Amino acid sequence: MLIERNPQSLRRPSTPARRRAAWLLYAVCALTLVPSLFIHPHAKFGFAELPAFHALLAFVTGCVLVLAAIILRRLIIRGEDYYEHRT
Amino acid sequence: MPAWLNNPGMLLIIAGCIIPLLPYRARMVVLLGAPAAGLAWLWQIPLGTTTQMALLEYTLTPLRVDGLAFTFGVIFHIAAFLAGVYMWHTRSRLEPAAALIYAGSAIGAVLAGDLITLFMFWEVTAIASALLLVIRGLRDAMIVARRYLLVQTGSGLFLMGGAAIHIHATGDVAFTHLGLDAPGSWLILFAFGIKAAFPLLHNWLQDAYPSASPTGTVVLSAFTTKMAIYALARGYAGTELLIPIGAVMTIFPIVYAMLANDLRRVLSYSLNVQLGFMVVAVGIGTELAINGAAAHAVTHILYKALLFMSIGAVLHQTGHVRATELGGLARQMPWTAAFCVIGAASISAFPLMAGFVSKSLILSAVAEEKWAGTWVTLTAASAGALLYVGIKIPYFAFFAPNDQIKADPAPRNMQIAMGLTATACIALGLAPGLLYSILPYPVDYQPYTVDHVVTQMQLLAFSGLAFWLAWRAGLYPRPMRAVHLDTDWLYRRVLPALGHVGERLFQTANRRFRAGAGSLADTAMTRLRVRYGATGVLSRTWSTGWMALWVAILLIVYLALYY
Repeated sequence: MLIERNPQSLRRPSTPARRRAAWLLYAVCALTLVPSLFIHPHAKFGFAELPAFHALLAFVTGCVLVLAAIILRRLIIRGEDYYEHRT
Repeated sequence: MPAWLNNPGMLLIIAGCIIPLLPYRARMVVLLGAPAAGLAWLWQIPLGTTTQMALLEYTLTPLRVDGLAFTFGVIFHIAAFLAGVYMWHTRSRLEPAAALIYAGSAIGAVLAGDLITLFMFWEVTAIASALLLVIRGLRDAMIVARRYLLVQTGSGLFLMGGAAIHIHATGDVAFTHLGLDAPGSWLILFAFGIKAAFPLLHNWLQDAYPSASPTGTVVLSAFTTKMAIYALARGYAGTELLIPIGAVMTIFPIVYAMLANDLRRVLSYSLNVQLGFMVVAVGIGTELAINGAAAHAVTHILYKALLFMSIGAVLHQTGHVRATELGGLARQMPWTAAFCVIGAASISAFPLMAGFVSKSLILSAVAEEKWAGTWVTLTAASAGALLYVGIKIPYFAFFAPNDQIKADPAPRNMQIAMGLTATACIALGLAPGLLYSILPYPVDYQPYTVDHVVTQMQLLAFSGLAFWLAWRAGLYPRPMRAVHLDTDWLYRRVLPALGHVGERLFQTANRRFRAGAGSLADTAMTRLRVRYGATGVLSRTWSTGWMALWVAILLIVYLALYY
C-alpha cells in the first residue's frame, strides 16, 4: 500500500473523554467562523479579505504538511543505528 | 576601570571563571546574582552610551548600548537568570561556570560596537557552549561536541576572514549596517547564517541541542541563535535576500519536527522555524519589522526555554525523552505538564500568550511591505505550529496512553524556574506594553484587535481540526525509533565515505607504484651483478699474455687513427 496507516490503537477516539474533546473541537471551529459573517476584515491583501480565509489556509496547510511528512518519511527513514560507529 | 572590563557581559564571564572555586551555596549565589547584577547594570546605562579603547592601531568599542543591543542584552540576562534557577540542584562545578561564561560572551557580543570585539565574543560563545556538551561526559555527547565545535569555530573563521577583508578595505572596524555590497560582507553573512541556522547550514542545531544535559539544553537554546539574529539585524537589516531564506526556514523544519521522535529534537526543529520568522523580519528591515524580530527573539527565548525546561524535567525524572517511550505523565508531574501546555500555547501564538503579541508584529510588518507570498507562508507556518509542537509535545510527553512509566514531580527549583518563565509568557501576552517598552524603536501597535484575534483563532482551530482528522485517519506520522536523514548525512556519511574511497585509491596507487619501482630496482641490480659481480664479465682475472695482446691491439688502433 502506498500510504501505511497507523495501527487502530493509535487512531480511534476510544474513550468518552476523547469523543467529547472531538465534539468540543468541532464546536470551536464552527464558533470561530461565526464572526467572519459579520466582520469585514481589513487585510492588506485582497485575497485575505475572503471570509474564513485563515480557516481554509490553516486546514490546507495542515493537510499538506501531513502528506509531505508521510512522503518524506518514506525517502529519508533509516534504522535507529544508522550512524553508529561511523562518526 | 579599564574599558574592556566595563561591560555587563564581562561581569558574567568573570563570575563564571571564579564559580568553580566556590563552595555550593556561594556558587548558587553567584549563579543567580551575576545575571541579576548584570541586568541592573545594563538597565541604568543610558541609551547611546559607548566606551572606547585602543588596541594596536585600532580603536575598539567594547560597549555600545543602543535600542537593539539593549533589547537583546536584557533578554539574555533574564534567560541566564532563569537557567540559573533551573540548574540550582546541580552539584556540578563546571556546568554553571560554562553557562555563565556562555551567557556573558553572548551579552558581550550584542553590546560590542566593532567587528574585532564581536569576533572575540563570538568565539567564546562557541567554546563555552561546546563545554556544556562536553561536561555531560557521555561518549555520544563528546562526538556531537566535536562536530558542534567544528561548525561553530568554522562560523568564527568566516567572521574573522570577512572582518579582516572589511577592515583592510575600509579602515573602519565599527560594526554597523553592512549590506551585501560592503567588502567582506558575504563572508560575514555566511558566518551569521551558520549560527542563525539558515537552511542547509542548520543541522548542527538539531544535532547538538538534544545531546546536552537537561539543564544544558535550556542554556544552549537561548543564546547562540539569537545572537546571530541580533548580528543580522545590525548588519543586514533590509537585505531582501533574507526574506526567501527566512520563509524557507519557517516551512521545511516543520516536516522534520513532525517526524522526529526525540522530543528535544522536535523542539530544536521548531526553534529553527521560529528563527525563520525573525530572519524574514530582518530582511524586511523596517522599524516595525526590526521591532518584530527583537520582540519575537524575546518571547521565543522565554517560551522555548519553558518547553525545553519541561521536557528536560521529564528527562531528569524518567531518563526518557523519546515520544515512543513517554506518555501518561500528566497525573504524576501535573505542574510540569501545566507549564508545558503554557509553553505550547505560547509558541502556537494563542491570544493572551507571549507568542501572539510578537508574531503579529512580524506578520503586520510583512503585510505593510506587501510581500504577499511571504505573508501567506508565515501565516501557514504559524498555523502549522500547532501540528508539530503545540499538540505533539504535550500530548506525547504527558497525555499519550502509557502505564509503564513512573515518575516523581520535578525538583522544586525546576518547578520554580518553569513557573517564573510561564508567568513571563502570560504576562507579556496580557500586557504587551511590557514587551514593547524594551524594543529598539518606539511602538505604536495594538495586537488585540477583533480582526487579529478572530483570524488567529480560526488558524488555531482549523489546524487543530486538520491534526485531529489526520490522527483519526491514522495518517499523522507516528513516532518511530528511527533516524531521519537531514543535511548532517552529508558530513556524517557521504564525506567519510568519500574519505574511505580516497584512502583506498591512494593505497592502491601507492602499492602499485612501490611494486613497480621495486621490480625496476631488482632488474637493475640483477643486470649490474651480471656485469660487475664476483663472476661477472668485468670481474674476471685475465692472463698476462691476453693483456699484452689487448694492449698491442689498442696501440695499433691508436696509431691507425692518428695517421
